[in-house]
Parts: sequence; structure tokens; C-alpha cells
Amino acid sequence: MVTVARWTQRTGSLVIIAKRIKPLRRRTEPVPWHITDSQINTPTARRKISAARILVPATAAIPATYCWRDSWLTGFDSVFALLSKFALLNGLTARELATLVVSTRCQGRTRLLDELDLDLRDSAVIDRNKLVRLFHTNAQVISRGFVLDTFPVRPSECAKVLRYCPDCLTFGWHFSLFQLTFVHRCPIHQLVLRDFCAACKTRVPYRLAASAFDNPFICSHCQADFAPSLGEP
Amino acid sequence: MIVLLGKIPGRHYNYREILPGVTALKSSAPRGRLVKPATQRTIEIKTHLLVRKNYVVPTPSIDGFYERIRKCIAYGLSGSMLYGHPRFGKTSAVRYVVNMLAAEFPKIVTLSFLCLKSKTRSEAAFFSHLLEAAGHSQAHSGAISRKRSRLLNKLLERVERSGEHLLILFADEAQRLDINEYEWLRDVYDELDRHGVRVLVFLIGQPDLRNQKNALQESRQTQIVGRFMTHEIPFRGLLSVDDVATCLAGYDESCFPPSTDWTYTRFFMPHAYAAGYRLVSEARSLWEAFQDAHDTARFTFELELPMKYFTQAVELVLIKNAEHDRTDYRISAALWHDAVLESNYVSAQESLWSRLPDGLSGPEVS
Repeated sequence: MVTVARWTQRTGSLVIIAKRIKPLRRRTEPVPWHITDSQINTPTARRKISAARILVPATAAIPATYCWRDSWLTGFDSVFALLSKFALLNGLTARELATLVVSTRCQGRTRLLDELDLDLRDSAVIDRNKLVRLFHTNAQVISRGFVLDTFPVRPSECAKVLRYCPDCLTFGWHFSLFQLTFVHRCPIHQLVLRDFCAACKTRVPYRLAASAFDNPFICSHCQADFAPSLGEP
Repeated sequence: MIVLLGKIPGRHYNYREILPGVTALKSSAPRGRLVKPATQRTIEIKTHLLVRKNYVVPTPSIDGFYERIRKCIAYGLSGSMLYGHPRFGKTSAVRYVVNMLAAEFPKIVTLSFLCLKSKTRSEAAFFSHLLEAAGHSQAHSGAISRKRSRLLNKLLERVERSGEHLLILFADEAQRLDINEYEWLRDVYDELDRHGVRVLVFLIGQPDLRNQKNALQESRQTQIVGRFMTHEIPFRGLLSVDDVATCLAGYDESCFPPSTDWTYTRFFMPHAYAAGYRLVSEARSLWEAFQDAHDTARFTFELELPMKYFTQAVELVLIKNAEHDRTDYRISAALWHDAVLESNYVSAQESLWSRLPDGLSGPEVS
């Protein structure tokens, strides 16, 4: 309980101004509210009365970004897996995804986006710097995603359809290594790599196309889920 | 305790034992040597925050709201419904608590959005709006299902990155939400809950919110009432001289630019401030000026001062009278009356209460 008063010359008496000043900031140290003739701020002059502390609000707008989970990045993912996860997280269609990642400097960009059938074995038409920003990572990790950029092999030694380890893909893992035609087993699970959907035997092209990316990790033919454990709580 | 403001003639630097029971302040400065603060403003008046109106004065109601949020965080309580009349500073309250939360709990993710009024309710538009508020680059394209998963993933990403399993949602102007929008919001709530994220939803709106709650209860929509509307907080204006004094003391205490010692009062009245003048001493004059206006207008309800008109009156007085500043300058009662008149308090209250049906004569007192 604090009473604030002022001496009035006219009546020669104390005039009560306010009986109680409600403390507003109890949780932190109270704002010292010292009333002195000068601005001298000494411990004896401090009084434990709290005043409303005026706040200057910071701008509330959050910068617009795409969604990405750092925990979904192993550091060795193929670009197919990375783009699939990105499309899944952001609810993007293949066309929206292609518009985002195809380099603005590549020739015939409009035609490429119209056809929507981009080879993901090399990074000829993909903007790698953009991928670095979207996946919050570095250029090395992104370059590992492109099989022809990583391994000194001929294009004929890289599969044109998706080859995957069923156990890895359950968690959304797919590595560039799997696309090499002379690699037959997953080095982690020792399972034979598959190049078709287990349910309907359809092959998934290793390309950024509507069939694979409009519904990522879902077979375009029989709707089987390749990665049921991805994103589970 | 009694604290003295200003000087008592003849007793300038030692106020002890003036009157029995009066605790007065003793300056530690040697007698006769007065350290005067500088009176030359460092920035132009028009660049001050007070002129740009970009500041929030916390009222006891705002403080109560923030305390409730802290309680919810600490004890795992569910969210609340904050209702108050227009111009009482509800939106400012949201800005204030969001900023305070960012300072006190930097890890907790908050999301505040304005509920929009639209003729036709569309799920796509609703999720687009939430996506925009959550900060997603692709807020407007795609089918509803894609937007919904986009929003969910965006919120989960932010929560996961924060390391806390808590998300606080503030829905401003929530009286505009209809049953479908509550259901869509509930979907987001449930889905986040399934991923182990605790969601605190605070609905902020006009008193219609309570009618909405009643209507939802009547129609047995308990899934919505139970999630979002269990706890109610009335949002009040300034109710007494003490509330006014608390807020005015804020002008005497808070500084702009930050990290300088230029308080708001000192900035506008540097000479008077140096001579010991504080805005808090005007609390009674300001309250009486509003009370007079209130009585003259023959309002039948008790005076409850909306923040908008309070800050407007203080701003008017400070900005208008900055040029008259001198050592013995004091704001007269007439100046406060003019400021209250110019703040349009009376006409605003008239237009607000004239819309009310018979039998409701003024703000409800809880």
C-alpha cells in the first residue's frame, strides 16, 4: 500500500493523489520508481513501487519460408528423397516443386516446366544453391544427392528408375548409391534392392515428374505407401 | 508509506521528519549541489514513439492476461477466452503478451492471427490465412488437403526447432469465427496433439464471444467449448485513479530511445521534469476530467476508461504542450478537459451504447 501525495503551496497541506499503485511487474525485479528532485539514483532513494512498463512491440510478422525438418536430413540422401520429403512437408505438386528448383538460368526453362520430366541423376537443370537454402545445409551434402555428380561412372551405369531398399524407404531414406546398377544390396540392411513397387510391380521413374512427386512416396499406380513410418509421431 | 512528490518550501534536499508518519526521500547529493539532467532533446519530437503511437502501456487487465498465460504454461492449464468492448486495447494486449512471452520464454512458439470477416466461409481461405500467419512461402496455392498438411508441418517444424512441445495460438477478433472454422481449428489442435504438441488457444474478442459460447453449449458442441472456451477473462478498462496512476507512472519510468535515460515525460517536458514534475501526479486530474465528461454526458454506468481514449488524451496533452515546457510548468485541469473532449470519449461511448438493446445500460461489471 503506497500513498502518493503532493504538497500544495496554496492550502499548505498534503493532497493525496493516489492511494495505491498496483504493482504490475511482480515476476522480475520491480521497476525502481524513485521520486527525487534531481535524477540521482541511489539505493536509498529507490522505492519498491512498480509502474506500468511501456513496451515497444517488435514487428510481429514472421519471414515467409518453406517448411523443412533438419532431422529428416541424413547427409547422404539422394535428391529424389530430398525433393520427395520437401514436397510432402510443403504440400507441393510436382509442377510447383519444379518451378522452385529448376535453375532460372537454364536454357528452355519454360519448355522443361511444361514437359515436367526432369532427370534427377545429375544437376544440369537444378539450382543447387537453391537446394542448399531450402534444406538448410551445405553444397557438399546437396552434391552427394546427384549420382552422376558424386560417382565417376557412365550414365549407363546409373538406373533410370528408382532402386530402393524397402527397409530404408520405410523411413524415407534413399541414397544415390542405390541408383548404381552394379550395387545389388543395401549396405545397411543387406536387402536386395528393388526397382519396382512390391504391390503392383510398377517401376517409378527416377525423374522429377508428376507421377512420382504429386503424391510423394506413394505408388502412382496402386497408391501403396513406400514410406509409412515417415512423419509418424 | 507515504511518498512525497515535488518540493516542500524551505526543505529542498532533506525531507525527513516533515510530518509524522511521512516517509520522504532523502537525496544523497551534497547540500546545495543539484545535479540537473540535460534538457536538450536528442531526437526530434516527430520521431518519438509517442507521436508514432507505436507503444503499449500495460494495464492491470493486460497484466492479468499475461499472468494467466504464465499459469497455463506452468501448470498445463487449457487456454482462455478474453472478451472486452472495442477500443479497450485487446489487440494491444495480444501484441504485448506476444512480446513479453518472446522475452521471458524465447523458446515457446506463438502464433497470432486476426480472424477475418468474410461473406462465405471457405476452408481453403481459412488455412491460407493461418499459413500466412505461420510464415509459409506458399500460403495461397493448392488444394485444401495440401494446405492443411502444409500448415501442420510448418507448425510442427517450428515447435520441433524450439525444443519445447508447446504452441500458443492467439485468435484476435474471435467473435467472427463460426462453427465450421472452430471445427477446422479443432482439427489442427487434435493433429498437433497427436504429435505430442500441447496447444494453448486464446480467443480474444468482443463480448459476443460469450453469446457464442452459450450458443455452442446449447447446441451441445462440447468438443469446441471444452477445448477453447472453458476459462473466461473479462478485459476491463481503467477502473480507478490508481489504475490511471499506474499507467501514468509508466510514462515517467519508461525510456525512449531505449538504453537512454530519456523517459517519456522527460522528453516532452525536460525542464519541468528536471524540476521534479512527474506525470503520475496528474492521475487525479485526468481521472476527474474523464469523470466530468462522463457525468455531463449523463451515462448511467460507472466510468470504465478504455485505453484508447486514455492514451489519446495523454498523447494530446504531451505533444501539444511540449512547446510550453518550463521549470514551473504544470498541466492544468482545463488542458485535461480539452484533451478528454478531443479524444472523442463521449461520442464514442454514446455510439457504442446506443446500439445496445433495452435493459443493457452500460458495461457489465463482473
